[in-house]
Amino acid sequence: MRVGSTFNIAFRALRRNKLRSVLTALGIIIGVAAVIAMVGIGNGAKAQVEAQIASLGQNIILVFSGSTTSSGIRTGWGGAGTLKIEDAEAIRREVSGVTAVSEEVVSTTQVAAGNQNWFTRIYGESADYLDIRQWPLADGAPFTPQDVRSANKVCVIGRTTATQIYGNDDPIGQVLRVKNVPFTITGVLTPKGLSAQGVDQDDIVIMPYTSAMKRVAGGTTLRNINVQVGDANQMNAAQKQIIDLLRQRHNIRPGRDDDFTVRSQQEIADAATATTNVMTGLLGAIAGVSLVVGGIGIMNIMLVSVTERTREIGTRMAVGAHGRDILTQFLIEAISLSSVGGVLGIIIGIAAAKTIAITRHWPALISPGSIVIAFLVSAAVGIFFGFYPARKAAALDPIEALRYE
Amino acid sequence: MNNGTVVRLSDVHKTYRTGEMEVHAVRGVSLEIQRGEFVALMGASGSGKSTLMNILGCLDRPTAGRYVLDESDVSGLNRDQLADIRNNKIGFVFQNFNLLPRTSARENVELPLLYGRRGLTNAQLREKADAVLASVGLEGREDHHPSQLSGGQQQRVAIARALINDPEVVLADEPTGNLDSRTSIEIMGIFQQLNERGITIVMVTHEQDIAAYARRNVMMRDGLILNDHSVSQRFDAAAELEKLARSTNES
Repeated sequence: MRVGSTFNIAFRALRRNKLRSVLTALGIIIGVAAVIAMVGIGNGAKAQVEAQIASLGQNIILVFSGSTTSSGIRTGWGGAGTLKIEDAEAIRREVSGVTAVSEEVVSTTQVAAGNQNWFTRIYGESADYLDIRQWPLADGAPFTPQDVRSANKVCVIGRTTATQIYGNDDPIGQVLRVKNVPFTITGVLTPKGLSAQGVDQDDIVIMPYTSAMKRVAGGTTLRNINVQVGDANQMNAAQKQIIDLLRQRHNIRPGRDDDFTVRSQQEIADAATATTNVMTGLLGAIAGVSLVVGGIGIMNIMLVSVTERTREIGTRMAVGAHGRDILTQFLIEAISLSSVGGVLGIIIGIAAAKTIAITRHWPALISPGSIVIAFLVSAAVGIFFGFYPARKAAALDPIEALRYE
Repeated sequence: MNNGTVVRLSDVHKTYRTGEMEVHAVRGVSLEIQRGEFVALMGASGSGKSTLMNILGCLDRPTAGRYVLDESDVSGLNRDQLADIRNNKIGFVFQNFNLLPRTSARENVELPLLYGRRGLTNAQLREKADAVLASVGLEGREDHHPSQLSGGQQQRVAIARALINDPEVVLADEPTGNLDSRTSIEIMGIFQQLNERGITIVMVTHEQDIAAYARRNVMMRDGLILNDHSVSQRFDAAAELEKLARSTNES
C-alpha cells in the first residue's frame, strides 16, 4: 500500500515535468535503440555469412593446391599447381564416405557473343559440382559426365553473365565464344546474389574442367578439389584419409610440410563466424557507450532535480514522508525514466534496424534475448545512476529543506 | 477527542552547535496548550520562536526537556517516528505556502494522505480532498495549479492540506507574511472559523495586529517566554473586513 502510493507520487512528479522527463529518457532511448539496431545488424550479417557458407554445400572438404607454408615460403592456397587430375580420381576411388568430387580450375577471361562481350570468371568443374554447391539451374540442362570425359564445348552460365551478353533473349542453345572457342550454353543458373565478400556469384561461366583446361586456361594442374562426404560424422576421418593419401601420392616424407591444404567447410564457417562475432561485439560495445552516457544523463538530471526540488522534498517530509519514501520516489522516477526509455529505445531500435535492412539491403536479425537484455540493462542503469541522487534527497534535513531558496 | 491538554512542553532547551560556538536558541520553555485554543507565538527574529515552532512541529527534537503531544512523549522519537507524528497529528501552514508547483490544488491537498498508512483508493483521496477544499471556500478550483491561483487562494490550499488528516494541532508559520492586508484578514477569518469548529491552532507571527485575531498571545525573547496572556480586545475577521470595505468606499 505504501509502495503503491510511492509509485503514484513518483508518476505524478514525472508528469509535472513532461518535457524534462522526455529529454532525460531520450538519452536512454538513443542508447538502447543503438544497441538493438547495431546488434541486430551484426547478427544479421553473421546469419548472412553463415547462410552463404552453408550455400557452399554441406559436408564439403576443400583441398587446395599448394600449402600455406612451403619450405618456409608462404604461398596462397591454390598458389602452386601441385594437384593433378589423378589425385582427384584417387580421392574419389579410395577415400571412404566420399559421395561426390569436383575438380576445379578457375580463370578470368573475356567471353563474347554477337557484338556483346563481357569479362567474367570461368569455372571448370565436374558434373557433380552443381549438386555439391546445391545450385539448381533456373532453365535448361546441366552438362553431363560424358561432356566432362569428352571435354565437350558446353557450359552453363550465371544470371549476371546471361543478362550482360544476351539481355532479355534466351541464352540456352546460343553459342558463347570463350577465348574465341565456341561453347554451347546448355543452362542458366538460379541467381545466388552477392557473396559475403561482395563478389557477384552470378557473374560466372561453369564448364567441364576438362574443357576449361584444354581450351581455355591451359595447364595440367587443378586449383582445388571439392570433396563432398555423405555423413557429417565421417568428415574428420575423410579429411585425415585425404591428407594421408595425397602425402603418399606426392611422395612427401614424414616431417615435411604438405604441398596442399585441406580445409573443411566447417573450419571456414567457424573463422567467418568468429569474425562477425567480433564485429557484432564491437558494434554492441560502441552502442553500449551511448547507453552509459544516457545513464549519466539521468543521474545529472536527477541531481539537478533534487537541488531544484529541495523545498518540495522539505514539504513532503513535513507532511509525513519518511526518508525511505523520498529515496523510493526518486529511485522510481529514475527507473521509470530509464525503463520507459528502454522500451521506446527497443521499439525505435527495431524500426531502425528494419529500415536499414530495407533501404541498404543489409540483413537485420533482432533476437528476443537482446531485447530482454537491453530492457534489463536500461532498468539497471536507472537504479545505478538514480541511487546517488535519491539518497542525497532522502538525507535532507526537513527544516533546512523547507527554508531552501 | 478529549478536551484536555494537546501540547505540554516542560523545560525545553534547544542548543545548536556551529563549530566552537554554542547557540542557545531555546533556554527552558514550559508551555501548555489546551484543545481548541488559538495561540499566537510572537517575538522578534532571534527570539527562538521559529526554533520552538520546529520543535512543536516535530521537525526538530529538543536538546533537553520533554514534549508531550496528545498525551504521548515525542521528545525521544527517531526521524521516521517523528514523520509519522507529523503526518497524523500536525498540519503545517507556511509563509510561502510550499505547494507543489504544476500540481493541481486537489493533488496538493491529497499529499499527506499519500504518506499516511490508511490505504485509500484514488477515488477516496479525491473525495476527501474535494470536501476539505470546499470547506476553505475553494469549491470549483480543485483542478487549478498554484500558478493559476492568487496568494490567498494558494494559502487556502495549504490550509486544506494541513486539515486533510484531521490533525491535533495546526501550526502556521507567518501565514500572512506574503499576503496583502485584506487577504491576511481573510486568512485570519478562515483560522477563526476553524478554531470555532474546535481546531487547535498555533501561529507564529511578528505582527501585533495579526496576533490580535488569536485568543492567546505568547511573547518570546532570547529563548524564553516573556509573557503569556489571553487577548483582551480580540479582532473579528468578518467585522474587520466590513470596516475595510466601508473605508475603501468612502475614499
